[in-house]
Amino acid sequence: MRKISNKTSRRSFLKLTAAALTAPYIIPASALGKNGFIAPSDRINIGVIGVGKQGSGHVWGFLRMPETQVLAICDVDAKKLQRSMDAAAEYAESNGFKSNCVGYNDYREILARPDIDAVCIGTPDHWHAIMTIQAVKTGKDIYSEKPMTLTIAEGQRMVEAVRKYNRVFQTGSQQRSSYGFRHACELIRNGYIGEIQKVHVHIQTGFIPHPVLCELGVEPKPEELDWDLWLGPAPWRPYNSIIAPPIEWGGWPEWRNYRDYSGGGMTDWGAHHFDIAQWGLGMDESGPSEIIPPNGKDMEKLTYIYENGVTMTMDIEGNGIDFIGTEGRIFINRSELKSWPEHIVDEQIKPHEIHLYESNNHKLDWINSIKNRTKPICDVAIGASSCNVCHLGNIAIQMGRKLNWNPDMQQFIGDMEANRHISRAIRSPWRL
Amino acid sequence: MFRNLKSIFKVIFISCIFLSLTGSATAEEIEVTLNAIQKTIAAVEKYDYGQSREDLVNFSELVRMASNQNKLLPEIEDAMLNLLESDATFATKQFICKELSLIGTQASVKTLNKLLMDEKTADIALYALERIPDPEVDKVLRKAAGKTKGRVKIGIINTLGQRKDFASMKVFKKAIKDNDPIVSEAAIAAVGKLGTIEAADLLTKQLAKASSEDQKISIMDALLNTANEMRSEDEQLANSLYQGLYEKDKPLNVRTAALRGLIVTLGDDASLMIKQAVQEEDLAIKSTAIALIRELPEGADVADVIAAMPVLEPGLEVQLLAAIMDRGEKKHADAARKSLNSNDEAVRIAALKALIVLGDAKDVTTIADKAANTTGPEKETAREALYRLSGPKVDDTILAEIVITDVKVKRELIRSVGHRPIPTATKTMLSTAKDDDRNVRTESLKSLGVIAQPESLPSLIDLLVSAETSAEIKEAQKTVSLVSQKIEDKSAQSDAILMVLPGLEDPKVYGSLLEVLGGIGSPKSLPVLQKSIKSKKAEIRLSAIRASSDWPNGDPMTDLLPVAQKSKDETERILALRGYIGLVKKSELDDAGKVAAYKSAFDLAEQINEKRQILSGLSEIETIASLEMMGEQLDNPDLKAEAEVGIMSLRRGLAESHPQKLKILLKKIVETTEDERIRSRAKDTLDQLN
Repeated sequence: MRKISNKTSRRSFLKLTAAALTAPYIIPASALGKNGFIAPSDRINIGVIGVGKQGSGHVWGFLRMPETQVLAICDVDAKKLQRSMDAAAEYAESNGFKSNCVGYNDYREILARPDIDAVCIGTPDHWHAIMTIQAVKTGKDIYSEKPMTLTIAEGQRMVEAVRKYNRVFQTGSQQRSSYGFRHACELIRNGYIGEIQKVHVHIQTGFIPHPVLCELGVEPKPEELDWDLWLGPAPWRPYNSIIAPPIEWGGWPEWRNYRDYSGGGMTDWGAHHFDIAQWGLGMDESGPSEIIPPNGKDMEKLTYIYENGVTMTMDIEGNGIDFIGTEGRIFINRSELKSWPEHIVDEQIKPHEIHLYESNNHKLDWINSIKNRTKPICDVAIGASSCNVCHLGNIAIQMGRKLNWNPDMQQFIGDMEANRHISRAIRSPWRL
Repeated sequence: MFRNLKSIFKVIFISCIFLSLTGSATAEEIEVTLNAIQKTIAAVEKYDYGQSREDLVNFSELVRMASNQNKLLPEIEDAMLNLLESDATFATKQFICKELSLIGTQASVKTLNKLLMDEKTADIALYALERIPDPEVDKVLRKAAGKTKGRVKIGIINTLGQRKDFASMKVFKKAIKDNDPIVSEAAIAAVGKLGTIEAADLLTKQLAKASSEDQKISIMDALLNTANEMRSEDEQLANSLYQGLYEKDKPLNVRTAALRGLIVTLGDDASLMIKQAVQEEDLAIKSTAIALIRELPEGADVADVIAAMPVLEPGLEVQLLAAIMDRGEKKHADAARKSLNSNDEAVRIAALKALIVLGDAKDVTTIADKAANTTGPEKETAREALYRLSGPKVDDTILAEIVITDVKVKRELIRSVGHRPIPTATKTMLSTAKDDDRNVRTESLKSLGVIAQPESLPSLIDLLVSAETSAEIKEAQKTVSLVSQKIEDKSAQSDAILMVLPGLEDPKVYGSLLEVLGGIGSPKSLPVLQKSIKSKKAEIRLSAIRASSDWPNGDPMTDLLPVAQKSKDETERILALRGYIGLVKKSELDDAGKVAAYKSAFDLAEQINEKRQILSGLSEIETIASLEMMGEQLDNPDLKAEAEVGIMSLRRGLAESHPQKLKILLKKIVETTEDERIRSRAKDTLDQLN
């Protein structure tokens, strides 16, 4: 049995905040030692929060990085926590040392530890904002899974908080750290297919494209699960295993389908592909100005219009981003990069042309940014605006009418009804 | 139930668009009558967790259409409130509150207030209330805050803070003194969202008399928020708040946050602030101050700030270089140049990265020297810097340096010619491709492949003809092939080589040019290959076989097969057979033709590698003939694994047309395979077929 903290989770935020405020800034030794070895004292100490299907992979990733050591793991499901704790212990043993990783049920215990430099948040979406805002107060840098937010307001608060405390935040939209996506966007930004006119974003997904009300029934709660803490800020409802499946379930949990926890397939793959669309269009930290939902008649697809006239559509079939310019076309997804004419993808970006931020490893880019105190490739403001594109689509679908959006003010223009969708109340005692 | 609806006498037609559960829109014009509305609402009343959401979706659609057309809303709202006042289930009331959050008005406040007073329903009431933009909501919440405690009170205060209710100051003041620390903390946070002088005053006073260290931390966070909120309206007050929070007795995280605030509000004095901060002993303050150089206004004297830096430890020097780079002002390149001489590798790498953005032609020599004389990440970064360094004279400087510098640096500069690329460098590269140093020659050929244009083909062919080592020959072949393929007219791509070939006497040279023809694949050159494959000279025959094997389609198959069948030379037979197998896939033969071709090849194959290559090709042809051919190899221990993989690849495509044959083979795989994953998949398919 590994070390699992038994401390009660019913604590004041205050106590935890005060305890953790001594968290040091990371000034690690700048150079690697022999054979790339980094002394434990110079590694970045990581806490991983949420170790389900995605988060448990992050534990592995950080265990293997020479620059990091995983000192804490948290999950509201004791069995999932134990699985990752075992993985950490086995990794340590197979590498000739003893694991000093501690497990927690309540993430606030991790935030309270002054020796933890940074946290990786792999929880469902409804937790990302609260955890981030609390984490930056305690001096932690953050890697948060995509989609970064559940609402537009959450993104606004997260950007404010991260900037306020000078923290480094990486959004897990890792396609930006792939050569193909970067090259495609560099070609587009440098005009290799002329002026961009249309973008078709294809986000075929196993989840319901636009989130729905949760109708699931009541099931007995597994003993190992802290259901109240799983729900956290989300509206209360009884337990159901479709939303929070037990460890035996090998597939993806389906909380993504439900509006209280996520934005459906739209924010699942959309957080990747709309992110690339925005990158290619040079619209980071901005967004479209009109959003038009399909109406089954003349408007077949969810359509976005940018201030410069570019239109972008969302398609629930296929997977990838199709940029159409006046002089060519580029299609990119995780397995292919194609252009029309064909030779365009073979073009090199010249020294005087636009070179986009280069990262070839999303986690390592975050670690380097922590060391250098720079914004990583998918900084909080980028993650927020890319996610906003998804939210705007979902809101337009939900409202069933055209919306006018001011991406600078992050408000719907003269539309009080639509502006109600920007934020939503969260369950007490949680707050943004 | 429908108090006001009863007064509706007009039948109202609403065109409704129902979204399916998958989100795709289907237009459906439906007539909505009073009866239909009543029926929908009645259906909602009976809802509970676990039932179909259909009625809820229908109701939401109704609300949405009414909202978009501004019709029936008061009546629908009234109906919803009636539901909230009824003994409907919690699930129904929760659903209704979510809907009210989107369309609720002042009319909802009274009913929602009742739910707010009940701990079981307070959260769902707040869900609705928080989004209703009516001052009546704030009034009710303020009153409710005084009557509640614990979790409900916390929720109310959070909502008042979220709504930025300036009139709640009294409520917040009182709540700050609450015995429950979480209530107190919520009130402090709510005050921090207001961004007013009054809020700043309250928090400042409260900080002086805070009941605990924890409360102090909350207050300081709220003060930071207040200052940030006030920055645009009262910069001076914001600045004074930051000053207070930057004092040395404050926690580090608060001080660094305050430092950011000071930098962005101090204007011209911000540089001075950074200069002072970097003199502090604390690394966190130094680090933050360095990072905040990015925030200094345009035109700030950054050079002065850099000059005032104390001796920095390497980690901080890296941060400084990153900050200077992010500002992108070329006038600060000297700071990066200086750091190139650091004893610390990470600092030198950071300096090289900074020079990519800040450097110019003056840096070419130094960076090239680094690329030539360092190793590992530093070398790679230097190379990248050389490829991306921009400026008006960078290309010219690179070309000038190539002529005068030493061999190692020259190689790096030549390498950069292809990577940047420098199209005007062809003449220089044609010259360096004849350099005494073999590596310089090879790098030059690589760069020529990128930059040279077809008019240089005669010179490039000359280089190929005169190439000495096999590595150089290969590189020259690649270069000639690449440049030939830049000719738009495909049929003309091999003309330059075809023109030279008849005059060549050395079979080795002749062969090396023949091999280039294969990669280009211009139809004009096929007769030359066909003739050469029958040459009396062995070197020419081998090159022709290689060229034919590289051909982009299956046209040379008929030339290669006889060689594979009849040649007396084993090498020729093997190479021709491999080439033939490779061309089957590229050919335009139909599936039956491809299987027949593979079968001929299989009969000829003497070596196991060729047989494996054939099975791999067969696995992509979904025919019973290819399945049978692979089935025959399940007993061959050398080919069993490939046959299993191939059959598994075909199983889906052939399950419907040839289930019996497939079953026999899958059963055999299940019984005999040593690969557990394959066994499991084969078993799954068998189960499905049965």
